Amino acid sequence: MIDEEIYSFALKNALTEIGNICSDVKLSFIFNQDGKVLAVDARSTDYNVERMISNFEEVFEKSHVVGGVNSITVDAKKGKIIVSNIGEKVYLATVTNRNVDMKYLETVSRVLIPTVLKLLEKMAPAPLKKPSIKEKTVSVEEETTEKEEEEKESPEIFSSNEEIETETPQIPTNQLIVDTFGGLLVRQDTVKIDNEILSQWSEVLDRKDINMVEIETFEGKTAQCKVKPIKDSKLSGKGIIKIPEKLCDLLDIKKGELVRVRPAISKED
Amino acid sequence: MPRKRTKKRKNEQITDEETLPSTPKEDEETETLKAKLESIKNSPEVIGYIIRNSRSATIDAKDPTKIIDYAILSSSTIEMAEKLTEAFQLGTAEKIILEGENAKLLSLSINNNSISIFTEKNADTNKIYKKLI
Repeated sequence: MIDEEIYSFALKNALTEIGNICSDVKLSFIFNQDGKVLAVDARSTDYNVERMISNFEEVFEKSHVVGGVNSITVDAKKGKIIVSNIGEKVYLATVTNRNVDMKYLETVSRVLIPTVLKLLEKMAPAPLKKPSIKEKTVSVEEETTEKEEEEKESPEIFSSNEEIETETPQIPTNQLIVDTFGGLLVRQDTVKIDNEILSQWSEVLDRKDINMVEIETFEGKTAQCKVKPIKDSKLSGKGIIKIPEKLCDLLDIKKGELVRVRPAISKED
Repeated sequence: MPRKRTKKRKNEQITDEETLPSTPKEDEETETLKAKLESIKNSPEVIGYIIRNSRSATIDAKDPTKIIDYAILSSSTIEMAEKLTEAFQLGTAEKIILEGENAKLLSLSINNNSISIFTEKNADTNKIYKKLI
């Protein structure tokens, strides 16, 4: 039975041949959706390919909205990165010069690699995909761990006509996409936003912490509530605000809508 | 402080947009891009778009329930491209195309604006890209 090492050797040779045929190819490697490197060409050894592949993890995870990933092409100033699906959850990544003949490269790579794979499968059907080592971790919402008692208190809701005392022209404002969360132990007066935004606000306003924010909907409804950073690192930098479902009802907003969010600074501060 | 607010709900479309004042030139560029995106949006193969800069965001999706998924996928894709182009020393990523089984994503940056356009699988993303630059 052909083991993974021989698979890898055969694929490495195929990748090296692609590099020989297409002079514009700088390097190439094959990996699977579970983040496992299956083969790298001789020139890829200068790079930490495993680390590169980890960058795809979130894209694969979130790509269900477009039906998974068939291919990714990144056109950069000094070259291209082309990632193509060449088998079930198996991808070929190629880094090329900017002016590479894409049709030629595609023809070569889409023929050569699958042919090698098929040959290897016929010779001895050793699986390229191993069961994923990584167990998908379910993000545990803060409310389930903190065991906070449900608070009946609701944040203050202002009508659009009321003057907002805390607003000053210098206060930074961000538009964020609403995501909802709920549960029995959820504090209804606390929203969660990206820690990076909170840090930026702290810096701009020269304050140690931002504890309160003001949310304004496009219908003009506003609410002041407590704020905590989002703990899920996967939501970092995504421009999302997590708002308790009850507060969303009060503000008449739904998941996916945009709201304007700014730090709430009282006059005494 | 001058502000522009619009909100449209029509045939399962949702459009939220707002622009807070920055520099007049940046405003003008963003408004020009938004006008182009509005025009592009009318193509039947365009599913939606996101345009974001440090102060404002505009999202338009034919299926509002997918807005979060679109936003996360586009930002993850842009982030991934940035990391890879940096690692391989390829300079700034100018255009990213992700093709899925059912749809495509075109992402690009113009000045400080990060733009992502979701289209049907049969859409010509190069044509859309040329309309934007």
